[in-house]
Amino acid sequence: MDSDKKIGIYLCTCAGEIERTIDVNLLAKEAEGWRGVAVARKDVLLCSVEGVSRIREDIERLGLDRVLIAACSPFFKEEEFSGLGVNNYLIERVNLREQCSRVHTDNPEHAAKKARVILGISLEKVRCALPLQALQVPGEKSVLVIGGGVAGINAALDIAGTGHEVFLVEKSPFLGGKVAELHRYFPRMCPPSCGLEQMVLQLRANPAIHILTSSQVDAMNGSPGNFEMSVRTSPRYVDAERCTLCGKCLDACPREAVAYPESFSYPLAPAIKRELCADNCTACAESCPADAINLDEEEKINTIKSGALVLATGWEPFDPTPLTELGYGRLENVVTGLEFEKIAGKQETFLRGLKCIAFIQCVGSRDERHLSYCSDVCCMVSLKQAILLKEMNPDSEVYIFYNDIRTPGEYEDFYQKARQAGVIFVKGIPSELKQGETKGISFSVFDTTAGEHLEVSADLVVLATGMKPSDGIEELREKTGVVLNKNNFVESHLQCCPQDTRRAAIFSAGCCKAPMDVSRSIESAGAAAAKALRSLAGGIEVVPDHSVVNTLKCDVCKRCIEECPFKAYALDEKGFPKADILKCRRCGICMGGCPLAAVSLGELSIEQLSEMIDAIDRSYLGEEEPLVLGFMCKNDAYRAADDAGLRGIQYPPNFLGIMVPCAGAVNGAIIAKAISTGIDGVFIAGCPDSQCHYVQGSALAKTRLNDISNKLREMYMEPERVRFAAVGRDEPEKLAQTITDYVRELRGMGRNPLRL
Amino acid sequence: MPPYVVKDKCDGCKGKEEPLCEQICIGDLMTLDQESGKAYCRSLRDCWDCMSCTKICPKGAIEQRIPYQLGYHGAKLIPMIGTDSITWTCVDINGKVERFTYRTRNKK
Repeated sequence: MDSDKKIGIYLCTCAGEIERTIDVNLLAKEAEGWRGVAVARKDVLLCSVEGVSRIREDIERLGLDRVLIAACSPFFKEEEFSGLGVNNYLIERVNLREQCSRVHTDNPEHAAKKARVILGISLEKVRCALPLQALQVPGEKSVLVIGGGVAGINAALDIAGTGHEVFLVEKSPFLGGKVAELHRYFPRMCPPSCGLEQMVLQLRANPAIHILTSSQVDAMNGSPGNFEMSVRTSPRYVDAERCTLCGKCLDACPREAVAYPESFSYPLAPAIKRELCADNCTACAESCPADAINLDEEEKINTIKSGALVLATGWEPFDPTPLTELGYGRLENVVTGLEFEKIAGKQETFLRGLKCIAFIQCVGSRDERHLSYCSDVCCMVSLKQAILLKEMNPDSEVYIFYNDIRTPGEYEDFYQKARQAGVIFVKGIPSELKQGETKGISFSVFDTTAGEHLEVSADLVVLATGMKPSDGIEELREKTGVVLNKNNFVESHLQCCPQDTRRAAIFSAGCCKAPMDVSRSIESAGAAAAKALRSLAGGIEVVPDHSVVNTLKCDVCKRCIEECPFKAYALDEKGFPKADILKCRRCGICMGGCPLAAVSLGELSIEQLSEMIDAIDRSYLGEEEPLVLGFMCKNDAYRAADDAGLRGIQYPPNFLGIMVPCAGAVNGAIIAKAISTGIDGVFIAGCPDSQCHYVQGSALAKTRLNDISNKLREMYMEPERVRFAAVGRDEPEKLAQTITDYVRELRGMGRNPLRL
Repeated sequence: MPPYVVKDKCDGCKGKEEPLCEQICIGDLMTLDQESGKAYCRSLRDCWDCMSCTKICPKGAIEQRIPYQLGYHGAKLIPMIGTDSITWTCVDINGKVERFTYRTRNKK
C-alpha cells in the first residue's frame, strides 16, 4: 500500500569524508531498488547551495513526497535541510557521519553494512511519518500575576511596559508584601519605602495594570494561553476614591480594626478588618466626613482571562516558637529579625539605650528538623541590623553568633564594614537563653574558634529566623497544578529554565522559588516577565506533534494521566485520556508507559518504531555477531553519541542507535518486539536521574526495563539482554565504552534464542 | 488453575479504580484489594485460564498456574507482548524450554 509513495534518498560524502569509510555510490545504487524509492543519489556536499538546489529540483521534477538525507547528525545543518518543498516532518535525516562513518573508521567493511541498515531503518521511519502543519491557537494577551510584593510588582511593571494587560492579585489590603515592613535595604541602607513609592507611582501611571488587593485566586480553568481565573475580592469597606486620608476612622475605632496605609502604600486608603470589629459598631463609618466607609460592602468574584501566569507569592518568616531553648515568646526582648525591622523604624530611642545586643543566626535554617536549607538572606539582614545598632550607639556591644557567615560577591564588603564597626563575631550557637538574675537575658555559648565558653548578658536578642514559602502556596499548588519541591518552594529545572514551573505558561518569581533577597527577587521577576511575554508572543503557534491516544486501543487505565510529569492529560468528553496540545512538552513518557502501546507522538509513533525494528537485517554482520539496539534520549545520550563521532571515538558497528525524545518514551512492547524478533541486546541511554529534563523519564525507563528483565529471567533468557545506561551530555567516552562492553558481554552470552 | 499476582511487582495500575486485569477479565474475577492497592482474583475456581490478565499486565506481575490437564506442577507458560508480536515461552515439568513467536494484529 506504500509503494505509491515517492521517496528520494540523498547521500552525502561530506566532501569525501564519509566516502573514505563507506562506499556511498554502491549504497545509492542499492537503495535505488528499494520499495517506494523514486531516486537515490549521492552528492559530494549536500549542504552546499548546489546540493540543496539539486534536491529541490528533484522534488519538483519527480514529485517526491518524502526525502531521506543521509549525511551528518540531524543537529547540524537543520536550516539547509528544511523547507525543501515537502513538509518538514517528511524529511528524515540519517546520521551517516557522526554515528556511522566516523566511529567505525577502523572497520570500513562493517561500517558499510551498518550504513545500509541505518538507511533502511530511516526509510521505514520516513515512510510512516505524518505531515504536520503548525496550528494557530487563539490566545489571550494578558498576564495574571499572583502576589503584590516586590517580585510581583516588578513582574507586572515589566509586562505592562510592553503594552500587555496585567492583572495583579494581592491577598492583603495593600501592595508591597514583606518589603513594606522593612526599615532599611541592604547594602545601600536606603529605606524600602522610597523604592516602593517609585514602583507604586509607575503602577498607577500605567493604565494596563489592574490591581486587585484583598483578593485571592479561587479556581483556575482553561489551558495555557487561555487561562480563566476566578478571583475573589474581599470587601475593603472603604471607598479609596472618596477617602481623603483624614485619619478620623483610625481615631474612632475602639479596637484597632482599621489598617491604615503608609504614605507609600497602594491603595492610599484604609481597610477595615471586620473580623476585629465589635458587634454592630459603626464608629468609623459615622466618623468619616467623606462618607467613604460602607460597612455593608460585599465580596466580589471576577473571572479574569489571561494567557500566562506569574506566581510571586513570596515568603513567611519561620516561627521560632518550637525552638524553646531560644525563649521566643517566653522571654521578653527576644525578637525575630522581621520584628526588629519594625522596632528600628518606630522605637529608635529604645535601641539607642541598649548596651548589649545578640544576634543568633540560622534560627530554623540549615536544621533538619525545621528548614533543611540555607535561607540566604539572614546573614546580610543581621549584618545590616548590627551596623545600624553600631551607628546608633557606637559604645554598645553587638554580638553575632553564627554557624557560617555567607556573604557572596559584593556583600563581602558589608561583612568587612560590620567588622570595622566593631561587631563581635562568635562561631557558636547559644544553648539555652534564660532570664538574667538582675536584668536582660543571659546565656552561655561555646566559642568554637577560641575553644572556650563565653557568658553573655544581653538586653535584646534578635533571632535571624529563616524564610519559608508563604502559606498560600499549598492552596495554589492544588489550583494551578504547579509542583513544589521538598521544601515547598516552586520547583523548576534550576539550571536550564529557572523561571519555568512544571506547568506550561506558568512562571515563578521571587521568594516562592527559593529564599532570596530583594535584588534577586527583582531580577527573577524580570526573567519571569520575559518568559511570560515570550509565551504570549505572536499568538500561539503549535505543531501537533504532541502525544495522541489511539482510542481504538485505549482501555482508560489512566497510567498516562498518572505518569505525565507536566499534568497535560485529562479525560475528554468521550472519556478517553487526551493530552492538551499546549501543556504537552513532547517527552513521550506517556507513549513509553502505555500498557497497550496506544499512545504515540506526532513525530515518532509506536507504529514507526515497530516498522523501524522490522527493517533491521538481523544478520548484517553475520550470524554470530550480536546486535544491539540503543534508544538514546535526544537531549543527552544522542548528543553524546554525536560527540563521539566528532572526536572519532570508536565503538563496534554492532550498535544501532535510534533517537527518542526521552528515555521514558520507549515502550516495553517495543523492547519486547525487538527481543522477540531476534535483537540480541536492547539498551536505553538516558540522562543520569537528577538531570532528566522531563523529571522522571530516566527513572521510569529504569523501572520498565527492570520489569522486562524479570520477564526475560522467567523466560529462561538472560536478563542482561536489556539494560539502562546513564549517559550525560558530556560523556561520549562513557557511551562508547558502554557500547563496547555491552557488545563484548553479549558475545559471551551467545545468540538470542529467539533470533531465527 | 487461577492467576497468581506477584505482590511486589503489581502496582495496582497506579491506584486507579479499575486496573487493566479487572477490565480485561471476561469473568470479572480480577479486582483491586482496596487496602493494599494490589490486584487479586476474587473467585479462584471460576477462572478459565484464558491468561488475558497475564498478557495485559504492564508490570508482568500476574503468573498463570497451568491446569494439570496441560502440564503438572513446574510447567510454565509465559507470554511476552510486542507491538505486533507475541512470544510464548513454554517450560515443561522437566525444565525443557520452547519458545514461539507469532505476529499479531495489535499494531493498529
